[in-house]
Amino acid sequence: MIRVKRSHLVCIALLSLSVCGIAYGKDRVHFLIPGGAGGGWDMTARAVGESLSRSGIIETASYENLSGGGGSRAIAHLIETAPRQTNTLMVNSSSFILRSLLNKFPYSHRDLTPIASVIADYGAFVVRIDSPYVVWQDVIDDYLKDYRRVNIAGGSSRGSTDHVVAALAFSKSNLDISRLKYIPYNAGGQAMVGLLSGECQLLSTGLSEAVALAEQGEVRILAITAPKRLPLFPNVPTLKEQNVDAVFANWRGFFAPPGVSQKNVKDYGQLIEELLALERWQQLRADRGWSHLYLSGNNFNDFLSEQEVELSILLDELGLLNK
Amino acid sequence: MTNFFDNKDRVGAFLILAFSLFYLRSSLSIPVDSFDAEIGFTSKTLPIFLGSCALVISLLLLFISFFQSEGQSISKGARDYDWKPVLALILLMAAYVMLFNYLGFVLASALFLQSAFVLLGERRLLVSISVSLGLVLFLWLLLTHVFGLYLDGGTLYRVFVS
Amino acid sequence: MIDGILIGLQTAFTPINLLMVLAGCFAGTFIGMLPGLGPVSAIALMIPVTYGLDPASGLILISGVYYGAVFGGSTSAILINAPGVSGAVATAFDGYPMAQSGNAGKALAIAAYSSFAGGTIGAILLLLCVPFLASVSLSFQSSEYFALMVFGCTAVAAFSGKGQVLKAVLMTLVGLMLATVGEDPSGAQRLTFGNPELSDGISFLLLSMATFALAEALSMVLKGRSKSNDSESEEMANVNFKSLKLSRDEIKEIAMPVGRSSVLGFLVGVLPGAGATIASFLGYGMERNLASQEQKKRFGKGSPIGLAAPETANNAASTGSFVPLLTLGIPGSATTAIMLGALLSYGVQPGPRLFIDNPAVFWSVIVSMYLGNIVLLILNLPLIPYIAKILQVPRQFLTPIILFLSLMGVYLVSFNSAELSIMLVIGVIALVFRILDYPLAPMLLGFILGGMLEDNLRRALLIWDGSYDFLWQRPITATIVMVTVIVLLTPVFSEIFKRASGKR
Repeated sequence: MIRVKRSHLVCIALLSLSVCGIAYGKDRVHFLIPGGAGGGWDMTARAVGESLSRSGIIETASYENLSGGGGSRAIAHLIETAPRQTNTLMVNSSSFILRSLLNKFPYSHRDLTPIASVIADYGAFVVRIDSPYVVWQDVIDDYLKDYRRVNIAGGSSRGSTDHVVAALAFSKSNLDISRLKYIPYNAGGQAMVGLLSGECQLLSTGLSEAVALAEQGEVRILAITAPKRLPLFPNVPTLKEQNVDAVFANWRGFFAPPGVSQKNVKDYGQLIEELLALERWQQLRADRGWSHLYLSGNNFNDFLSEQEVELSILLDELGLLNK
Repeated sequence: MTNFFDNKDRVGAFLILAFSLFYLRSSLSIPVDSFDAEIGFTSKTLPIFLGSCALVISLLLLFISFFQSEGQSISKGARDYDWKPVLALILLMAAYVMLFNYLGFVLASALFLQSAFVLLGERRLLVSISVSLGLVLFLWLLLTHVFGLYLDGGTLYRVFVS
Repeated sequence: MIDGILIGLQTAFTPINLLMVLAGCFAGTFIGMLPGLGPVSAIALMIPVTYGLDPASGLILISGVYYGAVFGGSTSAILINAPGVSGAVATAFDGYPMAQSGNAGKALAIAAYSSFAGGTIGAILLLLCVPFLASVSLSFQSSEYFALMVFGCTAVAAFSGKGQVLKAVLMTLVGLMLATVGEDPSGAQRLTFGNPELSDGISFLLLSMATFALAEALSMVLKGRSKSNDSESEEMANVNFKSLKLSRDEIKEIAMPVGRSSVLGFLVGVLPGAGATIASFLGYGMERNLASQEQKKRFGKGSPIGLAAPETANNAASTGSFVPLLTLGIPGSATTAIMLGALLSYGVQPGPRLFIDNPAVFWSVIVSMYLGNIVLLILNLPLIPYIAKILQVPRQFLTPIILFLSLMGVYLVSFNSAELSIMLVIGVIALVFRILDYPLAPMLLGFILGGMLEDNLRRALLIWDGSYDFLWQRPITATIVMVTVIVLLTPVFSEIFKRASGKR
């Protein structure tokens, strides 16, 4: 038995030697990722972390993938363990607000400390290259003739971003969205297959995912939900210029645990500003097709509250709110 | 009647019957989207269909087991079974799972392996300790340092460090 | 095209790239053998390692890892009944019983040969008909996928031996029922009882580790006393479990199934919504239906055909899944999605223009597939006797290690110890059903097919506005439905026929 106990001591000694990246010293950032490796949140957090650590702004970045419940596990974890998460930033996106509104979890952005949004992926409406739709008005006309003819593919379940962005565009085109035929697929790639195989006429997805395939000449991007044309993609028309006032940014940003000191918030803000100035970051962002969207501190908070109001109206129109 | 449940098919069918009743009952309360209701296939259509099928087939199986002259006996085989180490292993795993967050990956795993080795009759402590500790440390190094995965150190570790 | 192949060969056959494929296969096999770490995690883990290599070398390394991990997954399925990837589940059906009967070496060798055959035939088909297949792969819509999943369920017939039919069907239903747990496409929480751990549903890995690896390891302890340890190891030594030799008859026996399964597997793999798992089940089911009465009896008990068919189909399908990826830029499965990520990280955008814009990369990917398969065979055949030795590890060590690795495999995906509790409960229930002689394989099959079956049916119904007309109005759907009905009814009719003629 004595030997067994000794082995525990060895364990503890070894553990403390190698620290596994949770020592909360300065210049370390621990990224909490609410989804699995390879997803959108994961890519964003790792891109930010790597840009920061490789350019020497921070010493090390560690990443913790805590998937489950569409992000609720990570949020719960961050709130529960807030006192010790002094160096932790959680990445999240618009789906945070959606799931909070839909009561998928009992938290909202007010339960955390919003730090900043760094990028946006605008919603994109994509059609097959041989589609009769050329401009957004063609979609509206067809929908008015027979709403059943417009099947909209999306890579996530009903009430998630792809669905809501489509609803926004149709709603702002003065159409009755309670009839919207949204066909949910398990992933963006599957939804793209749905479009290409011809069972869906329109695909609602993120611009970064659509752009690569559009360049390959298989699909056309009919419109995006950006406020004006993007410098990275000057040829992609917006809904706004087609007289539909639908603007929606699927932001991706960072949150600190609740109750972080003002000084800490300021430090984080500065960190993000340093990140945005990095050439490495700008290059990476361009490669991935992400758009710049920097909002920090109170601006970010106000933006989130505005989006919350806007989305709750939409979800109500879709009949999804009172469930 | 003591032998009533000494029949493999019958007990299995009973268990699944109970499960499908429970499943069906829970399926009835699945919320339905009005949009789905229009096409006649909602979130609860398939669960109710599956639950009913399972209910019918398990009843059928139960029914058949009454008419079979000779069922497969459970107690016959069970006499030769080594129940003790299996129960002990299950309890050990339960303890491992419960203590995992507290002790952290390395400590909990090494303890679990070590206890399981001893439990299954390994008496050479030096051998078993080097296997349990060696395997766990090797995996830990591989995962955290080669693959860069993040493994939480555990509550105990934090108590020690801070 | 010849030019392209030459460019590809030239790139692949540099010493550094040969080293890459070797290293990749080795690392992949090793990672894949750990339950829980399948091709997806293996590639995800290797991507950071390949930073800084030039695209061709990086891709060659990664495809080596890919093939290695697929083979490694089969290895743990065969040796310890722990299929960590859904594509290896069907491999465990006959591979594990075969290894248990003392032929571990032979089982691994059959797996190696058939995955080589599947991969190579797949790569040849890929080379010959890429442009044609790209359009075929898009002719499948949700209704076709739904029909395909229903057809896949007929593979369950393989487990319905004498008096087992009802039990097998019942267990399939239980699997289908378990697949409905979690948040569905309409956003409804089903059968989660407000438990956030269940809202993502039960993961495949959790279920397969609990019902296969965990329950099997425990039931071995349970039956431990009846067979004394000494006699068991003697028995092992007697049949020379390290032997890789296949008899001439055995080769003859599996040759046709391997040929058929590789074509079938490849075609199923080309469909972006089906993938390797469905292919392996269909290959298994098809060969069982085609087998003679005598061979049929051996299915599920260590039949060489039952091992070779799914293994071949799995690998051919993995290769086939590169068709939609390379020609359309569409990832059809989690594995190809991570491959797409790897390609993108090298600045290679797959799609119809890849072939024209970047022929060197396109062809070196294809050539590295051949290479990966060949190297894997050369690398693994000599290693098999050593790998098979795992079974010689004394029980008191092997069992706890299997339990530990299967728990770890699940933890490493979700990092959630609450999932481990769910796994333990399912494992104990599975043990009870094992004792009661209820087959667990159909449950896993139902579970894997269940989610896709329902999703595709719901999509088809949404698109067809609630009408079931797609079942006969779409020719491919109608054909698959018809074949399913024939496969289901043939045994019934032959039985009736036999009885009728017997009476006379």
